[in-house]
Amino acid sequence: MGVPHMWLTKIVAKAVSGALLALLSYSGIASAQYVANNPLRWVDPTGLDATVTYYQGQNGNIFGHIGIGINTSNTIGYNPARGVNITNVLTGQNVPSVMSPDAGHVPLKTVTIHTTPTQDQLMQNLIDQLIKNPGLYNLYNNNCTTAVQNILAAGGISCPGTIRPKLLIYDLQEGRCK
Amino acid sequence: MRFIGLFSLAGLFIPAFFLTLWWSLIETKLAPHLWLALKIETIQILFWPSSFFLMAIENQGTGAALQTKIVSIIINVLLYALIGLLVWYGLKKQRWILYVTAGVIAIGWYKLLTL
Repeated sequence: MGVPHMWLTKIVAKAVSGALLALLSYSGIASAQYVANNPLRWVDPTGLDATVTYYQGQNGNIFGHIGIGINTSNTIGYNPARGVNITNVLTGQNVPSVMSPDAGHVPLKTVTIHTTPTQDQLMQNLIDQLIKNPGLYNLYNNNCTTAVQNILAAGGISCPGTIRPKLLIYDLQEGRCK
Repeated sequence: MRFIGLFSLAGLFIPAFFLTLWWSLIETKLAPHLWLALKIETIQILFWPSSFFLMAIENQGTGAALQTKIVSIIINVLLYALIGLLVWYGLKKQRWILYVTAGVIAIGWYKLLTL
């Protein structure tokens, strides 16, 4: 009598887990997005994370904007300081910059990378440093995208080099950052 | 001159196309399909190289944004006019200029796409 009961339990368990997986897959949570599609490398022992969000650009910036938050979904982004000489920016000269909250931007895509407390601390240290001393912005080699890459690199997460926000969020989504 | 004029017009209308269609209609709708958005962005970079300037608009006022867009479009028109001139000269006078132009464009595209 115990055998049919065992079968029934297995069938129900399989059906429930299948339905659950289908639901997660439909909602975009399935696979290993929570560890940048790289579960062998990234683990989540603490539930802490780095959130990278790709935003719609402002005033016709069709490349968009990207920002990062550590243990928060409120990201911060690297920008040329307001009122800089735009000709200097376009000609590739270094101009004053600012790390400012991305509040008000329209979020288009978010990737969450679960990290360890040590990684979080290292990344947050660099963010704090950039808030105090953001250095000089350069459109072609030190922009919002490279800033996010540098912050991730501080936590040991290396991404393919690019200055395009959309390409970076795609690399993160596809698990190309190791 | 007509040849150069046609190239210049293309240099004007391509940015106008991407600015209006991409920005106002496609950007938000393509967000769930990043790979497709990236493909379109790649085409945009190939045919409107100075569109990279628009990344400078972030955190700037509307005046700076307008100035950047105008500069970006003017540079694209000039670039297309130059290419038109070289292509015309290559077709009419010296064929090697055509090949050199194609080579320079290919190198330029490679540099742009690896940014």
